[in-house]
Amino acid sequence: MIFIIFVLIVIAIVVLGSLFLYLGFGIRWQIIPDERRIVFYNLIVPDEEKVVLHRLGQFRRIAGPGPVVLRWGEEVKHTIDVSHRARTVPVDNLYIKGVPFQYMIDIWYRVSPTECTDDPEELAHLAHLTSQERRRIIRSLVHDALSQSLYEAEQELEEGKPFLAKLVPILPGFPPNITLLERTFDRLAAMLPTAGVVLRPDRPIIISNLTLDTALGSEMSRDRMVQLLREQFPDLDDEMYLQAYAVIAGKSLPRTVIQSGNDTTVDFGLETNGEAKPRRVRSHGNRGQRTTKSDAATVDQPDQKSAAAEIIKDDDWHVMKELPAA
Amino acid sequence: MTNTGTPRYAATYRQQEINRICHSARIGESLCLIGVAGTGKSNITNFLHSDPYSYKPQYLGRDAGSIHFPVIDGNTWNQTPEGLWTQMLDALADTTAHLNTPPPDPKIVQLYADQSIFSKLKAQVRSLCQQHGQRLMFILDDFDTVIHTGPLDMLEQFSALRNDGNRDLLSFLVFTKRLPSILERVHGKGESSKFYDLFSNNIFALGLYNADDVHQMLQYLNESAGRPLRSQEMVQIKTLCGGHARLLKLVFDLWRTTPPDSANTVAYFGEKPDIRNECRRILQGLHEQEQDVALRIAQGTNSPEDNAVIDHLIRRGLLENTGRWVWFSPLFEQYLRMA
Repeated sequence: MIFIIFVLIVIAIVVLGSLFLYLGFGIRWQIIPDERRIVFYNLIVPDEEKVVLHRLGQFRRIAGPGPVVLRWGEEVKHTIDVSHRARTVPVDNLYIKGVPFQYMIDIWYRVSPTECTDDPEELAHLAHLTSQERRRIIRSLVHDALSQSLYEAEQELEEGKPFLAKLVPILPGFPPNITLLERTFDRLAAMLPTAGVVLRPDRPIIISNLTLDTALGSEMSRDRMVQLLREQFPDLDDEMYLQAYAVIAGKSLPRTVIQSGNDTTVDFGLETNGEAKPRRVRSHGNRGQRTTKSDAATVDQPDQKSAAAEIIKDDDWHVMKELPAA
Repeated sequence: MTNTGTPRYAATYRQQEINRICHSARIGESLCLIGVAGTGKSNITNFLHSDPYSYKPQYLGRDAGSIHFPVIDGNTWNQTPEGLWTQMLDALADTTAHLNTPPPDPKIVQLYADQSIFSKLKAQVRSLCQQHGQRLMFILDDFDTVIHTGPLDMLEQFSALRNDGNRDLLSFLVFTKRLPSILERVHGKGESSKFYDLFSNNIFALGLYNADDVHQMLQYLNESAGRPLRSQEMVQIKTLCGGHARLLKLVFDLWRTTPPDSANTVAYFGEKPDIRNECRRILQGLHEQEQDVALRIAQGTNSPEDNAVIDHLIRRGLLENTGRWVWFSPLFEQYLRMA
């Protein structure tokens, strides 16, 4: 009887020892009381990360996040950031109707090779891509997807439209551009898994910058500004419009006050998005006189007007607090 | 005027304020300090930006070298977004000249000048915060006019700067004389802006100097003066000025050049044009309703409806209830009575 017990103990030691040898040294354990279980692990992988494991120099698997038990011979080769982030991707050499332009676009995605393929060889390849290599592939895929969507947009453009109207599909906020981005999104959702990357489905692509050929940009700006001047001063001649534009553009003043012979004053402001908007239109007794922002005497001061309109409610007085003691 | 001994301010200068500012800078939290005109904001900005006496390590420890405070003066703003971004870029370049930042990408040409400058600013901030691991707290000094003038979408770009991956690394310290929520109400947006939301939970009163700071300042001025004042005179100056930094300086200088010829120092100094101008500046820096209530208190005609504003003035450190309403400075009280 004693002999049997002794044998059983020896077998238990051998089995447990083999288990530890197989699983690797350095096993730790943690009791999770609310889940009523014990968790064994060699390392804890933070949320938003995964680890690429090799065994004897060969890709083995991807593990994490959370507690990871290394099996016999496994070691961590490197870590992959799998968080959902917005990345800005510059895309140049784009064309629409022969007009070159560049985009900076923001795309929400995360690196997740395990979601992109079941094939072990493909998984190993995706896991071993460096961040630089992945970014290069993504940039190339984004360019391809955008180019294909731009081609479709060009086909849908009506013939006979003014030149600037043909650029509408690339201008952010316009419906043709929204369609362009949606199509690009769908293409990328299918293409990006080849780089081990998954798009975030609830985050659309956003254009953070559009760069046109500089001469073309100036052309648009001039046309738009002259159009605004025409609307406000319908009785001026063409030379006056161009002269006024030259003043606004040449001085680079974001605010310029123009007074016309018909006693109308328009205070032009340039918004941060580059739009020139008439801010205030007033009738004056002054004739044919151009002023700038520095001529305060002829321009209503916004501070005086709005100070008079300042209304403070009881709740407002409680916003400011005393500094807490150090 | 030379001073080789007493520092302008001690290591405990504005300890509460500096402690809170440094804590906020560390965690990327923005805040707003509302203080009356002449309350010594320039010393705070100097402390944080230049730290001439190397006091910052006592607040920031080892992080003192990696937390920077570029200063933007709202008074010198040219009322354009382009001007504001340029000021911020220049302040950043001045503060972090020792760190390499990448040149702008020559392939990207912006359509408009202010977008171009904002892009550069964004790239600089991103490089400093994310690549160099630095923390930035822009000090937006005397920012009433900027907030009031706008436009609102310019102000909201501050939030965009932070959201560009810099959330815990970039913050703003806004100094105003008036409530920022009221200043931006002129833009007509029904709800608060993203700019205001940056610091809406951290709006504090910047009170006047405490006794230690007053003492230090007067010691510094006295040591620098060719003909120092006596201790009794210094005590009288402290009582007259009640912790207001600029009034302290004005009264000190006046006392040195034209000492009072009577025991009634309040009446003597209260008539001086410099003192009256400073008191006017303090009063006009307040909201209109604050001004009205202040005048009513001075005349003894305030009513219970004024209580909310009175509490506000108390939090500003201008007023105290000792059984009757007492202003921080008898000079200011006299000015209000005569206004």
